[in-house]
Amino acid sequence: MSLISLLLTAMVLHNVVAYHSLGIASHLEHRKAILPVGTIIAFNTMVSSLIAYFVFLFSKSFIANTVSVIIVNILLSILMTNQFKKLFPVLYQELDFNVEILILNSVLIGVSLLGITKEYNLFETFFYSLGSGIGYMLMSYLFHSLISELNNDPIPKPLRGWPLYLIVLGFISLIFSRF
Amino acid sequence: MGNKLNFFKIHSLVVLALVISLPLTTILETSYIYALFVLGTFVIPTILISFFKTKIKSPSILMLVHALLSLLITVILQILVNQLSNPLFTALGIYFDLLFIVSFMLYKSLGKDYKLSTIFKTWSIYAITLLILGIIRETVGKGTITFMDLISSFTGHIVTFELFPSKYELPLAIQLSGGLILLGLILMIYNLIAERGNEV
Repeated sequence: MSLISLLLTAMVLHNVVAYHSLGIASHLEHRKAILPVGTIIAFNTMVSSLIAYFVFLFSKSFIANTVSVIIVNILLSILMTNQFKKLFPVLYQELDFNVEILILNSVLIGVSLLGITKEYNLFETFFYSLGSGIGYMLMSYLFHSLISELNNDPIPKPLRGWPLYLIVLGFISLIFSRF
Repeated sequence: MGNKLNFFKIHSLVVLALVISLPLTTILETSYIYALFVLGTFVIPTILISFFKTKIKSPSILMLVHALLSLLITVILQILVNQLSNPLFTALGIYFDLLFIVSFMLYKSLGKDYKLSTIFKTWSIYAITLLILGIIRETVGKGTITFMDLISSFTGHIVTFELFPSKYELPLAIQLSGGLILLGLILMIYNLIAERGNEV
């Protein structure tokens, strides 16, 4: 599989959100948060996937993978949360306690482990994680655009909030799976 | 009374934890096994932390202790499952490692309330929703109900019921998109019940 097709597959066909249901978070309601949080997650995904790849080179044990991937992600998240606090103080206040959750995202651990289980080489790991990160940002933008339009419509009260978001996401996922 | 009854509106992190676990709800067996694993990785560390909350004041340290305990239990579970039932280990795949994230989200959804009743309430609602998803998705999507198959190498029994012929299956139910739509509908029903409860 060529690297470009792997990148496109990770971005669209096997999108982390629409195909693996990873990384759905509450920052999707905040338009201003999509780009900074998405960039941090995309960057963290690449770094953690490459670290996971090198750990897997030296140790084929699944326990070593799990522990290293999770610890690397915790450390990256602490680092990135501090950076986020410094760079976007107003946004940090708005998102409040959910920042750790946003940055220690299931996308990071999921993509790192998927790269290992699919036994990609270094370049493939790089392109796969890059594609996943971009795919995550694309999906966040698409999802936010849809729900912000829908929120203005007269929708029955019980359907507002998460039920509506999940149903919309289900339909997006259905479209992606039919590519 | 306001929104007191509406659990998912207050604890949206539980919804996110459910979304992560969604790919495992295609059969009932993985749903209840995953719910039991979450009992180990979320409930046990949280109860242990609740004993130290008066001594350790910093929420960051408490969070880190919870994360490490949760990671330790995840690793122990992985070793045990890999030894006892390899098909189950393979079926859980990367979602076995994501137990850690699910537990972390459930822990964060508690806020500062470490009461035993709150911990079990959060886990029970998560587990019941996972079971409902597992039952509906397997019944509609495959026409079966599987209680024991992946763990049959450990228990020695296969317990599966075939409910209707395969021509009536609805494949959408076992796809991720079907799962997301179903979870959305379940939450909608929950909102509706909560709303009626508030009116009464």
